Amino acid sequence: MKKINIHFWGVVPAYVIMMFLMIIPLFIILYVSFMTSDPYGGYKSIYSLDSYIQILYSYDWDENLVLNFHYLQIIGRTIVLSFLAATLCLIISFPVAFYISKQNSQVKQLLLYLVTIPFWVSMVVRVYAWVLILSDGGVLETGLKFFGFVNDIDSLLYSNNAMLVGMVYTYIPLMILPIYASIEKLDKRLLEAANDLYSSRIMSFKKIIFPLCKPGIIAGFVLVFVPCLGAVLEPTLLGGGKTMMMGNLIQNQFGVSRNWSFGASLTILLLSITLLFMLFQAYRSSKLSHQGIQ
Amino acid sequence: MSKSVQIKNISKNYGTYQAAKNISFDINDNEFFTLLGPSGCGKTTLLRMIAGFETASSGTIKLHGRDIHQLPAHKRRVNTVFQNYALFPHMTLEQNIDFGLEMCKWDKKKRKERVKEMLELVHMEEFSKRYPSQLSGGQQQRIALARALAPEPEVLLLDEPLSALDLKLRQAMRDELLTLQRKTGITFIFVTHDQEEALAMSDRICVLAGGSIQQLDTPINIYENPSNKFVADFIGETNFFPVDVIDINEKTISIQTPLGIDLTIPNLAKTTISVGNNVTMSLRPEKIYINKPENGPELAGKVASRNYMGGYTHYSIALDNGQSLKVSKRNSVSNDVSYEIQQPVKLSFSPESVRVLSE
Repeated sequence: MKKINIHFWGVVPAYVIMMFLMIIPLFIILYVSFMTSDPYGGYKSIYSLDSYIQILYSYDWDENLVLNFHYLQIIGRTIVLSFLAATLCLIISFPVAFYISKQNSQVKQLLLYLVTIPFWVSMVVRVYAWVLILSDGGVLETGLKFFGFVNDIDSLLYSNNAMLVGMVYTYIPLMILPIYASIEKLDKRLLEAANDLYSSRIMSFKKIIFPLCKPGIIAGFVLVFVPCLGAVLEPTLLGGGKTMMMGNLIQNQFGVSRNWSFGASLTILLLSITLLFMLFQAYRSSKLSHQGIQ
Repeated sequence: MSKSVQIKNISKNYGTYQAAKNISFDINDNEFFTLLGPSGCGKTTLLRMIAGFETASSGTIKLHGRDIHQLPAHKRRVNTVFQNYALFPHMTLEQNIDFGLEMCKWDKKKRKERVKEMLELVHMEEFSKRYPSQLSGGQQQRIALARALAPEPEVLLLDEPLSALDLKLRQAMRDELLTLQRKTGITFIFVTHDQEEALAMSDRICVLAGGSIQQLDTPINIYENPSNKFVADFIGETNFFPVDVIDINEKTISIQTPLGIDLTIPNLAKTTISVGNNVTMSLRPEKIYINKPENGPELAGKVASRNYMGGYTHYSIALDNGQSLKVSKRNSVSNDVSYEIQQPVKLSFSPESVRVLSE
């Protein structure tokens, strides 16, 4: 009897899933993005670059192409906000992760559990909670007024800041955990050695802790930045549709706007941005591992 | 002679546990000083207090006359070679050695020269651009040494630096360490649990146990004239027998031994031994002769076991009176007589080699 090759057949289910849920849908999206959109929904199988042109240009009254910064603005906002969110997450996460790593093992477990607890609640509910906090007459405004910090404030909701707060809140565990892991792996004796060699705490952080935690920082940055690029809930609920990001722009094209081809081309663009970013990070971490940092 | 480190009445408590009990000693300039003891004896705690990683519960530590025991580690002109080297994995060897110099804000040009000088000192010039993970244990050891020596510390602390190396390398590194110490003229404080290492390298050894000093002396005195039973037992092999003191005067001590003989031995110990005390006698195995008439007492017995060690053979001799003695004999001639199991032998030793010890 022929022996079953487990190395081949064992991974076949994974390939099948990848094929049907990832690769084929991606090619469908790619195909649709090069077709003409049907104003009644769906698309017509006529080749056209219109959907890509639409990202940069629009037709004026005389059917001439003119530059249109509307969508570029949304793309730019998406990248900037995602970058800001990831950076804020990093700034907040480092001390948190460091604090957790300093505790005894029981407290550590509890704190890590607390960090991951938000994942147990539906994301919609969590983002909606921020709507209640930030809205006019919401928890934050009432609280600030009660303690006399402010008399009257502009609406906090439906702004870039509201989206930023929402994204930082949603994705921060994805930053804390990898940074915590790399701090845990850090040999504490190295800090003693640095201290012994006349290095102050600040210098030890700059020269030893930070460089050795880079793999965790890079991983955390990717894990926060990438989902932020595709965020839908935060711009919809906290941006209120006034300030869009790519996530809800794409969602709109397949929904109310009925412009499937344009939605598909935006998807391909978003995917390309993400891939470029991840390639860059992969290159950086491979350079790090050459230096013996894993 | 000027003192580089002065330790006075140092105690260290961890809760109710006392890791160091009122320890005082001075270390001379340019000395190779060893803290020796079993694990948990307080030697590493003591070293860490000198380095500044721990603060003493009480007492003072002086470095060249200056009280340093309140200074944080990065302000003490003392560097450490760590047991596991603790080299910075993300820096090249050059950068590792340069780290202390950079932190001390040395001049750029001077730093470069010093790094080169240090790499030459430990014979690692051609590896300067490598990372620690690309080195063998012995090479990492050398870089750790170079890194610690680079900022010109007043005292170098070495925390069991050889324990991670294999035997051959360990012996080679011993010589290198000694040469390095003589060359640089820096005081070395060396922590080890390996008595052979301590005997081979040190100018003076401080034997510690249970958080207090057992004996502080030269290697020869530590081995030949141990101050108590612990030291005699910890350093090298020995035979112990409980003995009664019959007579004692300025020059000699007379004792009654369970070997069936009375001995009169020189009184070296200056201890508080007096007549009627139960004390312990110690006789080193290599100081006993087999079948060689010597000026001294003779004991008859049979060979009970034999361990051939190459350079030496260790015998266990069952004496006719029921006691047993460990004897080691140097194999100085290739076809030298080897004694068989159960072979009757006559043992002899010089009473000068016998020491009496209190607990």
